[in-house]
Amino acid sequence: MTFDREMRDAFFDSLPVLMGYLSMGMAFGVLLVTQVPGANAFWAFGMSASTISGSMQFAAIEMLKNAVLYSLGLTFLLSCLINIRYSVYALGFIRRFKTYPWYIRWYLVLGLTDETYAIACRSRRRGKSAMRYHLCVTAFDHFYWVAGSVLGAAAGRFLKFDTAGMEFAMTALFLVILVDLVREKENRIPALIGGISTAVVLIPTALCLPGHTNKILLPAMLIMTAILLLLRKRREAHQ
Amino acid sequence: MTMPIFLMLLTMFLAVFLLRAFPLLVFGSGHHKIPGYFLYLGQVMTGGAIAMLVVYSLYGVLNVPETGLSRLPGALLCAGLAVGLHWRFRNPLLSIIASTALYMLLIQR
Repeated sequence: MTFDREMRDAFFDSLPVLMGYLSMGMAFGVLLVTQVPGANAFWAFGMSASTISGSMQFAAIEMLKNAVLYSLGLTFLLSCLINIRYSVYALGFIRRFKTYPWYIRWYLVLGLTDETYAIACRSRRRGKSAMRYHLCVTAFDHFYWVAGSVLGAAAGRFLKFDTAGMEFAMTALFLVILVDLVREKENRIPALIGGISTAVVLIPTALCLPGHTNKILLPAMLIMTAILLLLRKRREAHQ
Repeated sequence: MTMPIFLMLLTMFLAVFLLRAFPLLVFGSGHHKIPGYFLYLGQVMTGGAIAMLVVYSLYGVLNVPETGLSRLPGALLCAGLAVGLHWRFRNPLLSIIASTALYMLLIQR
């Protein structure tokens, strides 16, 4: 069976996500039950199993604290704005997904996160092997996220092990993937544009509106997309 | 859980799910041809998006109440370690575990 091989690779490749999601998920679970009146581990389970998105769920805590301020329409709009990057991620997978059975395709779409996207992108596998690998990474990440949130919600307040700083594993994971990407020349300019666009939006926001930094990914992504499209136009004009 | 709260959570889930499914719903059937600029973006977006996540998650690591920017040098040092190790040895787990352990050590002192 070749599944074992892909499953093993997926397990080792997603170990950093295990560290990151357990600590981030636990932070989410603790925040949820301490900040939102009436919330418990079942909420954490339901939210993490279905939504599978740190950016959405941390924003959800903020919104639930002042639930009366949000109509369903506003909730929908804000949720879309905070998370629009998922559409861009999914875009890169359409071609690959064409040959996959529908249930696998939809599960991979449901479980698409920053981390799963980053790991699946890096893989050079083709065909069935790529599908199995992607499926395993998605399932492992999904499980880690749910486990972390439920643990945090159920026992977070009594936890003794100091996980402070473990969130750096996420940054390290993204850095490692970036290093592998920029070994290839064609990724260098896009990476530079992405990093600069984000810093240009993030630094002023952090200085002037520190409470709103969770919304910077959308403007950063818009600026990045605009610059990338302009570059393409220029390149075409030169040819 | 009251009904409005449940509906709010359901709305959030639907929003996130629809965003993820949008490209598949529109272009997945093969009836619509994927426009050239979409394919181009799909190619260049990976490098851009990962670099974006590096900057954003680094800020997330530093964004702890009451520490201000005091952890910035340590975080940059550990980021440098991760990049250096990975450039040299190409072993993701080594780079990630070493840099994260060093960071935890630095801030828990």
